[in-house]
Amino acid sequence: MTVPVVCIGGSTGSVDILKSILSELEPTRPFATIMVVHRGEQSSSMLTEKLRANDKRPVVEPCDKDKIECGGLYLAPPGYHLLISRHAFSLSTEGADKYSRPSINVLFESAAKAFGPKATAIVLSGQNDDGAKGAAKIHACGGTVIIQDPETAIAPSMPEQAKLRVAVATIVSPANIPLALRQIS
Amino acid sequence: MTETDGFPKATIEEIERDLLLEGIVRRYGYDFRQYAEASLERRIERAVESEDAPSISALQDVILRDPMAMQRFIATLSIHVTSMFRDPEFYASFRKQIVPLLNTYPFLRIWIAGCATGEEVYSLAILLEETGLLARSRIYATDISDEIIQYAKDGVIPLEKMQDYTRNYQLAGGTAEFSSYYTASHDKAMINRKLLENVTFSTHNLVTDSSFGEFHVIFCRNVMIYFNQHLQERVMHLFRDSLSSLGFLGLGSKESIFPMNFRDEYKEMAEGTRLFRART
Repeated sequence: MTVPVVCIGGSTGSVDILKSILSELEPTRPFATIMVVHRGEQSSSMLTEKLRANDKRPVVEPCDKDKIECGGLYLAPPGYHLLISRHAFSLSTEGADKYSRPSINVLFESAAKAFGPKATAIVLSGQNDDGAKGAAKIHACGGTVIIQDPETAIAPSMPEQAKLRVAVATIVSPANIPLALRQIS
Repeated sequence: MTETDGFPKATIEEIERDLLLEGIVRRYGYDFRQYAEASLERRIERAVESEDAPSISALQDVILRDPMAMQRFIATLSIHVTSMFRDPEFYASFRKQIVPLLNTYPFLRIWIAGCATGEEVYSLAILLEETGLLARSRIYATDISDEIIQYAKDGVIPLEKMQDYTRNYQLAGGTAEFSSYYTASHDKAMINRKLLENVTFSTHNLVTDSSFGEFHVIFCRNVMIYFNQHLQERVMHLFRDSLSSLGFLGLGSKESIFPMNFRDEYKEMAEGTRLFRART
């Protein structure tokens, strides 16, 4: 059985928002949460530790070919692009896309192709336009795009660029993101 | 288009991809049919763009008729951006735990499977040089792409990048001045030829070629991430057949281990290092 995916991408200013989204996720959520935060090639496990959810469900940096589990919380490891196919994660060592490896576009684009309407993309605060192209692809393949209101973002350009590419996206303040996720079944 | 399980049936692109890969294996003998889907899809898209083809079918037309286009396609599938001493902890562990064991061998045969642009080869050569093992080593560096092998053989890296690698080198346990291993010329760094004297570069296809000898050490890092599970299992068997008794295998930091009896066959030198020793 394939599981719907919620793919979240962010850069500067996104970590605290991610932490609060994770803390409000329902334990019975019927989807997998997959996150890409721009990080250096040698980034330590501090980020994973920082994002650990309150319900003691660990945030995992998936290995290549790990299965995507319902309710799972996943964070793209440093130095690789994270892709998904219908059941499993896949890693790549192609060049940095939009200044980062992991790239948000790469995750979103693979999610769009493999999950179509069952993919949700969330674009958070960040300093460049990574994620905009990917969000457009998610939308084109029938998925849902949610964007952090740029006015609430420490670094507004990432959500702004995404907004330009996906005019019909839902724009929400960070506090309202968990509510939007409860609509997913 | 009818749907099953909320997903559409095979799209045109999926069909075209299958036909492209079938065409390639029949025409050229290169078999990409068991490559990992997600990254393969992406690379095929990239090839479509770079050949300016209107569709995957049009790309197939070009590739089947033009062997140079086929070479370009192989190169596109082989894109792998890496660095010297990537995952310095891996090299530090190798130096600390495996080098002392290798020291007892009169000669060493080492295979770097999927050497790409050569960074891993140069890194290992430096490490072996510093630990006094290079003179007795024969290193075989292979890759599927002839173009990439030629590049690796040249031993040239953009100078800017080379300077970035200094930190990795130090974290990996390097004891010398990193810059002593290369000569800078304009914006290029040339690896000292002496370091590559014992290295043989050649093409080898992990999918279709068989074992070409026995090795004390095999590195295959971040190559099998591009293979699906079946192919990865096949390649792991190939490595098992190519490792000498109690030989060492090194994988990439976020790779999975297949086949399922891997744990029976190998023990990890230290948790998370992705350095393994065959139990027999």
